Amino acid sequence: MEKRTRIRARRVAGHIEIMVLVNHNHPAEAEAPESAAAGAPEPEHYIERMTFELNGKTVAESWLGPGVAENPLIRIGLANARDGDRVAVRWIDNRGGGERVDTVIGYAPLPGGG
Amino acid sequence: MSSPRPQGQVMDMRRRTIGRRRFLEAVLGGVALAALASQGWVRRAPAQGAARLQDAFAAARETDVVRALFGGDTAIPSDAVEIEAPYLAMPESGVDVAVRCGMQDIEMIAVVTTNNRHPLNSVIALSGADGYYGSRIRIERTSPVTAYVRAGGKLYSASATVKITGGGYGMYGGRWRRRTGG
Repeated sequence: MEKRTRIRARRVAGHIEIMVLVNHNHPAEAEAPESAAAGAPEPEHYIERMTFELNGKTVAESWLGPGVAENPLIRIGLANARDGDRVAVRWIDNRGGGERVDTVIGYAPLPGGG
Repeated sequence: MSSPRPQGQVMDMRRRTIGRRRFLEAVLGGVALAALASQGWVRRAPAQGAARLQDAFAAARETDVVRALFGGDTAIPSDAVEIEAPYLAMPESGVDVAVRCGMQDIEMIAVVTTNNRHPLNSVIALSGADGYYGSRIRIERTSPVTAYVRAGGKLYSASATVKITGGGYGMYGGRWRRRTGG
């Protein structure tokens, strides 16, 4: 299955900034159940948790609510990361969807990916 | 903020709460429990961590969010916390907000949009990462965006107001972004 998450590590102002872009649309894209009455609130579909790992060790763990925009771009910083370190991100949404992606710091990203 | 809600919004909140509870049950069944327990702020109250998060996301007022997340701590406005947010934004758009913290021993950052129906936007617990967190958030109407930062056992905050205008009128006056602290 095509990856929905893109991750990029770049060096900014003395630390490594990890940027995570998740292709995760809100209900506008999702099919509303037919049983839902007209005017009923749209079913919510959002990322619930996102975990960041550096070389297999959790360095940050975030809990997100419906207030986070669709296709969120989440950024964190790592001061102690070096070139060659592996950064992984895992996320899970409120309907059980999720993904895990990783990248290696310090290598040029492939065209169109990262 | 304290005006009575229309019935539809009450129902909406209940649906949200139940969905979250189901999610939390599923997650807590697995390894997530160990991960949760490894966070300092959860360790302080192991059995209540998930319930507190649930309360915080379901809360309708900023004070309730802060109480659920940080207990009785009072936030100290601090120049060491910097919020980067646009001055103006359009409704229903993703607003880019970043929080930078200059202090040591940062444990947790929470982003709160005061005037949203559910003010808590997101929480990040840090265990090795820098005091930096950025995200795109939804702001329903003009509202202060407040970052609460717990560091070294103390609670700090900083706030920046984002004005929401229909169609984004007034956005092009050279006031795209501003940084603010304290």
